[in-house]
Amino acid sequence: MSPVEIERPRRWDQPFGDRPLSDEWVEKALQQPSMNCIVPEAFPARLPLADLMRHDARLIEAREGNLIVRQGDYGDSVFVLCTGRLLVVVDPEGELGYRHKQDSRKLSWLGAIAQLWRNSSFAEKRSIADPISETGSLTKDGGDSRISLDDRKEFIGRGLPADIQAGEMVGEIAALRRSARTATLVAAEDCQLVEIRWQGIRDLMRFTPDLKHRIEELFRSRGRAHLIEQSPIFSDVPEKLLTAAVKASRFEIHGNEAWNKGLRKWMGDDEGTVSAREETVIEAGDLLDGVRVIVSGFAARITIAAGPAQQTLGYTRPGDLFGLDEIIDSAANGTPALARTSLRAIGTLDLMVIPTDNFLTQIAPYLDEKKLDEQRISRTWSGNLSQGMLDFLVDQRTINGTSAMLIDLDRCTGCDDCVKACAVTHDNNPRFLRRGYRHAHLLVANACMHCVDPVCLVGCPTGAIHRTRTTGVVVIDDLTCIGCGVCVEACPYDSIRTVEIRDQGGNLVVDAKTGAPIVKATKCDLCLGQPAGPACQNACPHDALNRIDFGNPRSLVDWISG
Amino acid sequence: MSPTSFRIPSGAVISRWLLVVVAIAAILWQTQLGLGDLSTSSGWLLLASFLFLGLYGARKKVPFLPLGRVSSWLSLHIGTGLIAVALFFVHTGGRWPSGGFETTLWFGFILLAASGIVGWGLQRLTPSFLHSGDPLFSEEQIPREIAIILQESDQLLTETSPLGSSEVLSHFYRDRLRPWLSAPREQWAHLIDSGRPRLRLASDFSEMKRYIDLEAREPFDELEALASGKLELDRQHAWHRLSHGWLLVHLPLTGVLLVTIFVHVLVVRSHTEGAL
Ligand code: SF4
Ligand code: SF4
Ligand code: SF4
Repeated sequence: MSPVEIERPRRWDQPFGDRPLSDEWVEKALQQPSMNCIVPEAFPARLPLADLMRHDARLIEAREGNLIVRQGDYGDSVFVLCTGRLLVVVDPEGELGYRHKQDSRKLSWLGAIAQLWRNSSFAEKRSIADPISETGSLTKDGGDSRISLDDRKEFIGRGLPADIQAGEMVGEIAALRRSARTATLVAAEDCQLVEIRWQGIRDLMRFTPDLKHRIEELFRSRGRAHLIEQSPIFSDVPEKLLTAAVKASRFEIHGNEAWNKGLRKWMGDDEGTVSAREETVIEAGDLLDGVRVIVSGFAARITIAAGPAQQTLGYTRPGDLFGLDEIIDSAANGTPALARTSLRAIGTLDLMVIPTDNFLTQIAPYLDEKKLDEQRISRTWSGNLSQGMLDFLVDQRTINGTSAMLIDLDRCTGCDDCVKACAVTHDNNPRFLRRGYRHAHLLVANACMHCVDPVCLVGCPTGAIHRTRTTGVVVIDDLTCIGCGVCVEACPYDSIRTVEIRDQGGNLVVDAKTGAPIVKATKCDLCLGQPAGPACQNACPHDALNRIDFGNPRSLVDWISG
Repeated sequence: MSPTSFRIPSGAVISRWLLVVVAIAAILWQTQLGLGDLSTSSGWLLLASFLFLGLYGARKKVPFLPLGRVSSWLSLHIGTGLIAVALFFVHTGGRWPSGGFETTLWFGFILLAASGIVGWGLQRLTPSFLHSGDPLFSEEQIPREIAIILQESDQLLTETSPLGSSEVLSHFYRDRLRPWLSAPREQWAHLIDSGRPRLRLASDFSEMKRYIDLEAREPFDELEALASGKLELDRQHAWHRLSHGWLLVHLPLTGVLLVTIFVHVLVVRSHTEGAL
């Protein structure tokens, strides 16, 4: 077999839209008040502003009542509204009925069974036909979200929405925090928007500090309020009181955005070294001036001093409250509210501090004790896990996973049925190795964990690695991937590999200029599209392999002790 | 190292199995009360359970279908297997087989059941031994890893290398170490957790140390590290073999027995119809 030569894929081979954004719209977008601080001269010759806008942005023309984004969906783009008006709707409980989730297209049973004989007989086979005509745009897994909303009048009547006017920018929260959309956007009238994907926004901010400042300011002023409003814990608090409390609150940012850098090097260090790298937000014994609400960030560690070290008690998730019991008890007893535990930031941590008085008068009377109890229990879990295991999971940042692959080595017989199942569902290319980092009998395999904070997405120049819109599963669009390996470097869990690809006939595909093999990044896609979900988990005969969501640590405790 | 956890089934699982056993017993009892042929009804039940046991293998082939986890199927497989053993004794009346065909069937079944029970025990016993080292290798990976070790150690012993230029060491490598490196060795010693292979290797290397000059010390240490990596591969290989070796009996026997049972059913049916 002789190698097949192709041109090495590059960043803008595949524009964000079906076609590059026209010059007219590039100009229009850059004239909008939210964007007019951007000047072409600030951009280097290798990254001209016009090219960046042409390829990383696309035009959306929406009619009145069309949904632009849906709360809870995943997306990392920012929208610049050029004409028209948008309604912003926050509806945490999904009462308004527009938050339906769409399942990604699944294979039928027959289609799934056909994999058994359709699978390739050689590794990493790819179609190297014209990729652009095959994929259309990057949103292929999400499809077009411009669904019309018939009951728009109903929720306008309920007084929930806020407005976004022409010239403004919106969507910055999901883009900056790699989180789900915090609100639904509906076209209040016919609109024209320019949507810029994360890769473009990242570079625009890099070369225009003013824009970076503006976007961060937007996040500060409206983003956090949305995140609070959608927290189920506050769902019974009257809208007016909650808004007043948010207004009176202080926002803080702690920790380090680039928490993944160097993590691999010091993984496995002792607990002292690891927790020393975490910023102490509150030390046990500090006087609390209010209740802390975790707004975003994948976790914060809750600790208590134990001799010379800090003992990990648990960790928080967005929406959790810190210092609540101390504040309530102090109000009841008339004693100062001193923190009983410490809070340490893992990654970036956005906090809102609701002042004690506001909290006690405007929020506390409406909190549901049952919901609070659930949170207390799930965040400080002792269960049947040893202290060492808890320390390990937090130290290694495994708690970032929403679907971490854990293998109980006391049950695993090494049969590799899990790997074979992965291969059969992926054209005979297993997407993980039964390797990883371990503590006692628990192995955290190097399989993508589909993180709360997927840092692998940050540096990708093409947006090939992304979260699917409706499920949030982190996937790689093979045709857009240029094999640069930035995601491989960024993933602190060794979950991504690059592989050399072959054409339909099994020939190695090489770069026409250099003769070097063309590579693509691959990883676990959580068996998206397979009728039964993760095949690895289904296939294990000994219940030794489980996918664990660390947002629900009970499931781990139950499985380990099951 | 602790022996692997034997998980005790929950009360709900045990009661469900008890129900199945009671139902089967009731069917057989009813047959006897109605003066039916116990051997025929138990035979049909045995055939049904045998076919169900065979479905486990099919389920494993399609992990992408939403048919319940394979681990649940394995529990069903084990439970049904135990019931099949009981049915087998009811069906044969506990009698010693007569005739070549019956004897084949009889011993085939016993061997199959025994291999299943042994396999079940091994799969619960071996994991903690198999995984006591690091890194972990699958059975298929081990030959490739051994080949890599062999290749790397050959490179350390080329004629021009500091190690290869030592006569004594070259001999030691060619006659003793290389043959040991080239394939899994001392499998039984690893299974009884004997420290002998490690001690022998350590003593071999310490004996050779005196013939190594300063320049060759680093490659010599590398060679020792490679050999100790091979030792770990041998250990994992032995446990893999033990853990999965029983399947070499269980799987082919299942196929043979399915065919034999089919023939048995045809023969019995034709006899019955002939008699009628
Ligand atoms: S590739 Fe790595 S960082 Fe990205 S979601 Fe998967 S485990 Fe997390
Ligand atoms: S979920 Fe699917 S793709 Fe991911 S490791 Fe398991 S079998 Fe492979
Ligand atoms: S299928 Fe289960 S028992 Fe087999 S290797 Fe995978 S995790 Fe281990």
